[in-house]
Amino acid sequence: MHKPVLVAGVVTALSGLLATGCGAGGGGSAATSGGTFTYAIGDEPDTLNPALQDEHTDPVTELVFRGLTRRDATNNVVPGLAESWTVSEDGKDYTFKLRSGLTWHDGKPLTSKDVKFTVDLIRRSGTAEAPLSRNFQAVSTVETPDPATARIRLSRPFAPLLDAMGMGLLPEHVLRGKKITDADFGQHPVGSGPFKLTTFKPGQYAQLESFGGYYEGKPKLPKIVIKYVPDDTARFIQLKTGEVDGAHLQPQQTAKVREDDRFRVETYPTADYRALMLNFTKPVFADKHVRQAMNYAVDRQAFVNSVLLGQGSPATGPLDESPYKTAAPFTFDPAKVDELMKAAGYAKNAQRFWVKGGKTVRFELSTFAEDSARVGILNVAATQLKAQGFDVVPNPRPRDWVRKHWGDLEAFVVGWGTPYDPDSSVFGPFHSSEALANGGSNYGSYANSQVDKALERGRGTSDPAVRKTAYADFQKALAEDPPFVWISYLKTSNAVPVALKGPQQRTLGHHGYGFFWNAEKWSWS
Amino acid sequence: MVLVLRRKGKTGAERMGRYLIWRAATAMAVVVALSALCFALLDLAPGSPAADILEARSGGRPPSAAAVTRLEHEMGMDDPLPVRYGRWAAGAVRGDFGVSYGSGRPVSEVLGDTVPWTLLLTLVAIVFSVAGAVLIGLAAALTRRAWLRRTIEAGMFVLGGMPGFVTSLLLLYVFAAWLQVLPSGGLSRPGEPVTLAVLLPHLVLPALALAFGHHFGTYVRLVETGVGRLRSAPHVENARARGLSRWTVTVRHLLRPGMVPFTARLGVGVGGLIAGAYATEMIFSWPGVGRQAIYAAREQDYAVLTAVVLVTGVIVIVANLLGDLAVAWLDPRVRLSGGGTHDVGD
Repeated sequence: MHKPVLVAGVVTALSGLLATGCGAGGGGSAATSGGTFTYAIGDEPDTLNPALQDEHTDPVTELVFRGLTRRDATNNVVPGLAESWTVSEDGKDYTFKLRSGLTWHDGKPLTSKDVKFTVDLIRRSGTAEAPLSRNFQAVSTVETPDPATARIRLSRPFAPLLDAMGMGLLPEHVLRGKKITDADFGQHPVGSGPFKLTTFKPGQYAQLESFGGYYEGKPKLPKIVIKYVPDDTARFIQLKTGEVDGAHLQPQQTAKVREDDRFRVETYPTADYRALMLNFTKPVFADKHVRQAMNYAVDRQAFVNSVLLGQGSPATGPLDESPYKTAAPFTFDPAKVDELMKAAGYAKNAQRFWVKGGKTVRFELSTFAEDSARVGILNVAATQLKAQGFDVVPNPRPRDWVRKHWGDLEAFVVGWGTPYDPDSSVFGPFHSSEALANGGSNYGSYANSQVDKALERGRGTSDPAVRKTAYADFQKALAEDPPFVWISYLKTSNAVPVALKGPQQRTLGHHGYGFFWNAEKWSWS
Repeated sequence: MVLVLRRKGKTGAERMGRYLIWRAATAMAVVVALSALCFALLDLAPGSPAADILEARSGGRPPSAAAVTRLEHEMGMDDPLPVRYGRWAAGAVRGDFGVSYGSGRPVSEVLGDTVPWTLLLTLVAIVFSVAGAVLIGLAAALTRRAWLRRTIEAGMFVLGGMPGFVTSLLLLYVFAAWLQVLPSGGLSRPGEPVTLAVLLPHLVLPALALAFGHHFGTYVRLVETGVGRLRSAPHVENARARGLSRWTVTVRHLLRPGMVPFTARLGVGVGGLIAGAYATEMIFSWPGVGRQAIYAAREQDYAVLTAVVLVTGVIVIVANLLGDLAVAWLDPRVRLSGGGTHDVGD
């Protein structure tokens, strides 16, 4: 009770003392002062080097760097620093024509030598230092016949290369002779993107300035500040008081921000999905009818409404948010569950569980205990599956335990998916050569020869029509023999001031990274 | 008593000097033991930092076992524990704590960027804490108004039961969100140079949150009881009878001896305060070592974590030392016996 009085006293004393020249408090949004857009986000990257960020480029890196290719609003590959390219008949020879007059932020010219340097450096670094090097394993040489031409020769056709070249180019004149993990470059990067980093204060903020030498012309926003505010509530308060103009929002905050007429909430889909991964080394999952039935036994909209507070959409496969998406069959259909389970020879016992040969469909469903959204999905999934007769034992486990026991897990709430080239998001988790035992990321050891063939065709051709059919075949095979029980895709929300024009919807990546994808076009109205 | 000591050839100053040396030597030993202990404890922790780094770099994808083994080898994680500790300790004495696994920056640079901010925050919080505890504690001890004493007691009871982060959020809501008189976090507005005039208002809320969110109720009670039990002590009655002013009686005869239990507790409490700074820094976006420690723990960045634990340990040890010295200054019995339990004299 005495606290407020005392606090008020101390505060009054101090603020009286400092009244001159501090102008401390909330008032005055930064939007009005010189046109800076100040945006608060919770996650802070360790490094701003694009070659070290795997498919979730943080805002600063996204603003500072550009690659040869880019992705448009529908995540299709379009020209970036390269104005055009040609691919040889056999799909092993890519020739990129660079735009004229490209420069780095420090004024040095950007040439094909930098392309060669970037690809060579990332290949040399290997996957332990730079996971993205997996996208360049097919590269045999990079040639630079002239400063505006880069020719990448592959040892085998690898269609995802065009998408992979969307990774920010690295400047040879800065990084020559250094390691790719060079800390100084990671903190003070030199790129060729629309904004140039002027100040980076780890733990505080990054300040960026529009770059006059950007190939599409100087961006209209003069300055962008990315402020790192790890606490969700503090971030929300800073938005409300005008200390920041925009912020990444938590699902429970979006409704409150929508009521505030100073802001507009931009809610975008992401390719980040949640699903129940099943371990194929466990006999309980041998019968594909059982896995199909489980996919009909979950009410996906219920997850979106309860666990995700509306910030999501039902998932029926790994490419729902990709341009390669084909129609998927799974809906919530208890009658279909009965039909499939009976066809598989199961009958219900006294506890209303499906039984065959004296055994129920019993398995432990786990996930990272630290991740509250995943634990929420785990609990709802267990309840729903039990209601449909599956004997699920929910048991979240600590992250560190899980890391050492991937092979022992029976079922697990996983998060996968990228909005980019389909190969990058589905080859790892579903191709049999990527099984856990081989050190790959197919943690459930899923194996289906049709799926394998379709995936190989998808990456081995550069013919768009062939790729389209390959990924359609892949999705069909996957629906017939489901590796996962698909749950939902996540959506991401950001608050921006109503006066900010330009943010455009695109399917974003993990944690909603990519919100600044077209920031070079943003402006104040 | 002083005369007796002098005859034995030991002045108070000499004894104080010996006491200081003894305390400094013990403190050094504790630091060495602490470094070995935290190095070993972190090693025992489950999980692999290599796996964490790879997972962080790949946007949360679980890394392959082969990649983990490769990186562990590169990081020298496959050497036996004593070898790694020896390597680390040899660097540490030269101020080289290795390189952060996450960002690749030298750990000493990370510490240099963050430790001063934590020290500043903690020091200001201690000032707020001491000033508040003395004022409120004295008021409670000396007032004749029962309602005031009871109000203070109830207030401190509530405060004592309130977790630090709740105090932080309350302060944020009231002063940053509602009244909008103070900024809610950071050192300055982005891009604004960090001058004293800019820093001080940014410092108020986190320092208040830290001061009032951690043991403040206990401190008030210690001042209150420390002073209260002396109210009718013979030396105080005597001083009053000699006609000394109320101020002199309060400050010299009540406050100085009455502060001993509080001061002793404060020295120990700094450890708790530093721990509290971790959460406070997260909430107020304060770029201190606590926030760094939380990131490092999350990513299992052992290089940073070991150094942070060590630095925190050193701060706590120094604080305890200063607390003991303050007690010695306040209480002649401690000073002249050559230090409470550590009698190194003769």
